Amino acid sequence: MKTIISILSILLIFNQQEPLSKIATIKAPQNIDKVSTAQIVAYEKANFKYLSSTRNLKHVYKVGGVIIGFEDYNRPAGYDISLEDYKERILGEVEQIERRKTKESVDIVSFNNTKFLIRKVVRDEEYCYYFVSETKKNSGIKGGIRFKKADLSKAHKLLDELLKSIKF
Amino acid sequence: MKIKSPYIGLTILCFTILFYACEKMNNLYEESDIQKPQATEITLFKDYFYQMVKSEGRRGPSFTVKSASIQVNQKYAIWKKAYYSETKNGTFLEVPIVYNQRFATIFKKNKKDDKSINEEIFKGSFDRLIIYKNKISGVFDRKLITYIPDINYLRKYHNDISHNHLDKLDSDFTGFLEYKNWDGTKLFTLQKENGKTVKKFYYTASGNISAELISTIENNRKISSGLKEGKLMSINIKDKLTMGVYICGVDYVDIMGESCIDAGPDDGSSGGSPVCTPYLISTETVYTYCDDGNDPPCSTCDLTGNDCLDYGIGCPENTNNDPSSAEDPCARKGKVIANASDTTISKKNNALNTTITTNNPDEIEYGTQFDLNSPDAASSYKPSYITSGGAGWWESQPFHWDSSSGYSIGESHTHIDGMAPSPADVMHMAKNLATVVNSGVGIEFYKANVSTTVVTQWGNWVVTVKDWPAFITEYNVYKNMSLADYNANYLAIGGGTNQPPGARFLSKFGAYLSLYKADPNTTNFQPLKLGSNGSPEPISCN
Repeated sequence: MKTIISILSILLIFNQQEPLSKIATIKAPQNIDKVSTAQIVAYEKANFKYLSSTRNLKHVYKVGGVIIGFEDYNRPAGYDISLEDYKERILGEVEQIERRKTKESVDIVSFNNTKFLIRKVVRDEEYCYYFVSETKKNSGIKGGIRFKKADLSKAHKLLDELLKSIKF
Repeated sequence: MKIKSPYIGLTILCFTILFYACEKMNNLYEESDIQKPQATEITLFKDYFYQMVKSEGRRGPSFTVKSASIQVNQKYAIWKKAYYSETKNGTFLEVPIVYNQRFATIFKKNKKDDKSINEEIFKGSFDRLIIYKNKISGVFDRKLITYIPDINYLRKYHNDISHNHLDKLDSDFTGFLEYKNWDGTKLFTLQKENGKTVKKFYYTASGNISAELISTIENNRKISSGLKEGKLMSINIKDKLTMGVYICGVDYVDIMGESCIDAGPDDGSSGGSPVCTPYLISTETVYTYCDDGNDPPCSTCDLTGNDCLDYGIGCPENTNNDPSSAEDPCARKGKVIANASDTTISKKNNALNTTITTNNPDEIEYGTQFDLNSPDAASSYKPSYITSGGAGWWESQPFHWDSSSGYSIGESHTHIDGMAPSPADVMHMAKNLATVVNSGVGIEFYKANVSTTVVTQWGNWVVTVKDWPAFITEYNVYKNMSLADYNANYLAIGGGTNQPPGARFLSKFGAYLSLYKADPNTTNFQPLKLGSNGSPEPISCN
């Protein structure tokens, strides 16, 4: 009997899902395609001319033609990100942006008392947004969303819902 | 002399007319005289003015007026009396400004009230708006200036000194020039004697360090002063506060005002000379804070390029803005190589290089900052961390300049596309100078050693500062215009097409920043200059 209980306990432990974030609560997107990460990577390679780091994030999902993901980030003490300074550095990369022929813009938005920087990159009608939260206790959440023009409004809605669900 | 041929006389007459016409176009213009190319330039100045009016309005500070019909103070430009001129680094338009309620400060050495003299000086004073355009950056700036003559000088010119302009002051001009923002906020005052600046000062009604004084100083210097409100230890001549500002005397001022019922619109119906009634508003005891103008050097030349004579501000004689004072990049070369060869720095740069050359299809930038344990050449580095860009590009790490966090003497980050440092990559060196100055520690060390490194797979770039005053001037330009506009101007260098890496940088910053490059996996940094073909090439250091 003891052996059975032990086995059940171990199974339960293994069956427990790891939280999506160790530093905040966050809701995964709704209506996600039931596909593996490998399939998402393959989907991006097959459907997008340019790759993005979104597919490599710890939690990545496919919702129709949209790839969206996020993960925690950590910073050493005293290395907090200043989103305003970061915005300046991003938009300041003028020659790199010119060389890549991307259109870039940066927004700083605030949800649940947390500021997020959203870098919006458009290249050949392919859209890639990156977001990063301000640092809270040396940690934060970063992520990205990848889509084509046809999915613009859908992607905006998904990103909006995701950011609004993050609570530190 | 008898002129033998009527054609000779006619020719002389034509040349004479042409000469005077050119003189007039270059200096004073009337609406009817606006011709190309000045017409285009002046249109730009006017556009700038009306955009400013649209966003900031025309209101000026108001005071209680005797005439009930004047409710608000408005400012109007008299374009037909505008003066156009050019300095080494910019062009400017000096436009008379009239108000519904104008006022000026009459400086006195004692409390004694001499109403007739005050009124005479006040009537001889006038306001001008200076709209300045930097030739290189294309950036506009503006300041209001009140010309306040000394009574003897005024009388010598029969109570009319309006022929003076910032770049053409009488050699015996004596009096004051008060600089203000468009909203009327005081910036600073220059005392002039025989056409030369003898004192630059601020004044407040208090001997204490007031919020107003701090605001005035910071507004003028465009740099955090580090001043805190509070009582001064003592009020002594040369009692230095900070940033080269000290109490230099106690003076008395009469604030004179006048209400003008028929001011406006621009080029007003009264021909730009509204009928006004002057009267004394108040007499005040003021504390005068002099500015030695040395720290930061020539800070008053902001937005005007290197030429300290722009705006007519002038700089103290001991402020050296001579380009020849700029550091020789060859003299710095050994230090750049030694720095890059330092074990801590080379390890980090190699690690950064690995982030590019290993599989990085996502084009993520990485970077780090170099923090010394102490602000001296013998110091070792604190441990540093390589961070990635949370949103692709690298985000800079927080600047430190204290004993616990360290002294950030440089940073290094990757450029996957191989480009030279961007404007934003180097401007932080100027921005951070304010923190260093406020700390009061290692200021010269910072200026002599701060650098920015960019790691690429085609070799690394290093930037150092060779002329701080000029760099600070450019930083003020950068800070005071939108990033989008600054970037657009930067990309326009070279005709708006892709340029070889480093070409735009040298074209834009080469006069005051040194750019070095080393071959991949080496530290053999060579200073670069812009070659005759428009590409960077090594400077031959013998």
